[in-house]
Amino acid sequence: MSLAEDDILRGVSAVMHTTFGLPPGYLITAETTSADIDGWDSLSHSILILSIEEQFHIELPTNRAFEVHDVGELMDLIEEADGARGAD
Amino acid sequence: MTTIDACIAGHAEKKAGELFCRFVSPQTAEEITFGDLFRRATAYARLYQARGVRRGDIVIIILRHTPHLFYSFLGALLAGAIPSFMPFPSSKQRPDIYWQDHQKLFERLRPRLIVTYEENRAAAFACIENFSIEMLVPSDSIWELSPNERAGSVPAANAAPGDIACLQHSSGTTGLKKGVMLTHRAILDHTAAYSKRLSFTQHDSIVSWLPLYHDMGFIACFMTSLIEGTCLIALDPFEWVMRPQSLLEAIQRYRPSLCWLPNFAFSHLVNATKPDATFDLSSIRAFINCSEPCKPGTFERFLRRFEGCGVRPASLHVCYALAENVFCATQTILGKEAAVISIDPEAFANGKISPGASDKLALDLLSCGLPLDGVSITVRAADGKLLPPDVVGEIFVASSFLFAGYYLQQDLTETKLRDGWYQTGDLGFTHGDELFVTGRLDDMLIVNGRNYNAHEIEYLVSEVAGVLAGRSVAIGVDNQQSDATVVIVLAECIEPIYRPDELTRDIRRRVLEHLGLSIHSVVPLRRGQLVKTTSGKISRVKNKQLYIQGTLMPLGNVSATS
Repeated sequence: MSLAEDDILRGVSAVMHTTFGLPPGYLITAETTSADIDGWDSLSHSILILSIEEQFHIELPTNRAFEVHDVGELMDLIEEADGARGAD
Repeated sequence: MTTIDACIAGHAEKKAGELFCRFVSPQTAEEITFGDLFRRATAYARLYQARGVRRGDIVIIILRHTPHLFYSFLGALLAGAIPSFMPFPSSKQRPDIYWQDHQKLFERLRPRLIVTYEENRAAAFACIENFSIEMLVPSDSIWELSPNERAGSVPAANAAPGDIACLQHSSGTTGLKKGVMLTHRAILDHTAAYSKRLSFTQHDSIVSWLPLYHDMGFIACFMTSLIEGTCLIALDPFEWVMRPQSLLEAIQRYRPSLCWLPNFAFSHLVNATKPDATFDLSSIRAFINCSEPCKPGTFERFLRRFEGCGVRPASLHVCYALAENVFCATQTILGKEAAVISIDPEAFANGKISPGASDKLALDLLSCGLPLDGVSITVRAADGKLLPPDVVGEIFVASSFLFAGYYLQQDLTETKLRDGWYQTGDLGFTHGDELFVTGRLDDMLIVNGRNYNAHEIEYLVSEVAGVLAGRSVAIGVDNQQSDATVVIVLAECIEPIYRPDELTRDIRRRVLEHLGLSIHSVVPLRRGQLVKTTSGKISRVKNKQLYIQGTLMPLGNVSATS
């Protein structure tokens, strides 16, 4: 069964809270970008991707995962990878 | 061999079928022999000459991770031109800013040709008025020539050992970059001295993810492999940042023996690989930490994580390097553990080195090793007087392979290079025979192996709406979580400040678009909170102390209706 958008956002939000040490209640939305979050740079982005892959049991395409501009684009990638896994 | 061209030609003759490089990209691992390398570089040389490139002309190379980096560079060298690598524009940087910044540099360098892709050619013409530098798009068709052309001889550049072989642009942001001139002789002599210190043999091979515009990737990895005639395993820098374990996989697969990494990369390998993943790293006899202040704690964490993968304490090493000395000035002795000394932090704050009073209070510092043969190090006070061991001062380097000056910047050369001594701007001290590097004298911030001038960041911040002009500082702070230096901006703001989060976003975007640097965090402050020096300038040192102590009070949100 594929993941619902809400589930993806909830999962991404949980990983981001842990990865970036965000305060409880800090709201992550599809529009959140690296400019909104303390310490979200290219190095921590790779840690974020690794944690997301573990959280959702998926593998994201490296280049596209590096190019995402906001959380919404990241969610799209997760949905795509999850769909591809389901199709296997 | 007395020149790099002779060296390449010699390898092509004696080792034509031997492997020069495994060029690893996410999809493939292309094998390049010394014969391939010479043939393709020669084809580039002929093309350059056909396009009017002459001896001493500057050729700039702006390419992604592709073997054309090697061919285009060596082709320029064979043609007698002076090649130089530049960073490829990052997807996070605005193309107009990237090209306009480079135009300032091009105006000084006056390059004859730029080797880059069609997309960059279009961007350069769109972004720079009257852009007139000729561009060459790399293509495999460059060496797919007619039989007659293939049979043609090597272009006769007849380089002399004292000729400038290339420019290294290693320091500072684009417009302020200095072209460090390196002669053939300097590069070859450096390689001889460094290889001797490393006990480098024909059985060695180097693995690298480092970009070629950086001296560690360029000299320590590419040039050492090329001159010594051994194999380089070259990974994609962008791929490595995203998947650092690609380096560990390459080590397991190809069994290289040497690997250079900046300090942050040791931490990144620990933080961004799966905790349960194992690799066979036992082939590496030296992981060499360089280009940032090297920390004992980083080595301890790296060792803890990868001890089970074959990493030993004696395989973790340190070197002190600078582009002006080709690369390495000092290096720890391979086979022995790098020395760590525990010192008293209070005495250190006053520039003195004395043993730590107790383990709890001690500050641990990692040695950068001993000078290479032909290199001398002195530590001097601000008035130029020599300082004794165990006193912190500015590091000066003299060597038999120092740079030949900054390209077309004679005044700057004379300021930094006097009586054969190069004034590094680095702070450190000698202890016994070994050098310890402790920081920078100027306002340079070293982040993930790249240098940024604090005043440039502050200039960009001061242009953001809502920030008081001239009332901000950029400071480098050690981040415990990532074990890397991060940049914090402290900015006094025009009140009332309605949305500090928007201001923070604007500051981050501006700095990222211009410099490609991610600001870790922004602290918006009330007017007058930043402390000034006695001369009335805003003090980076004192405000950094206040930030670390947590005594600066950031401004909060103000309701638009209040």
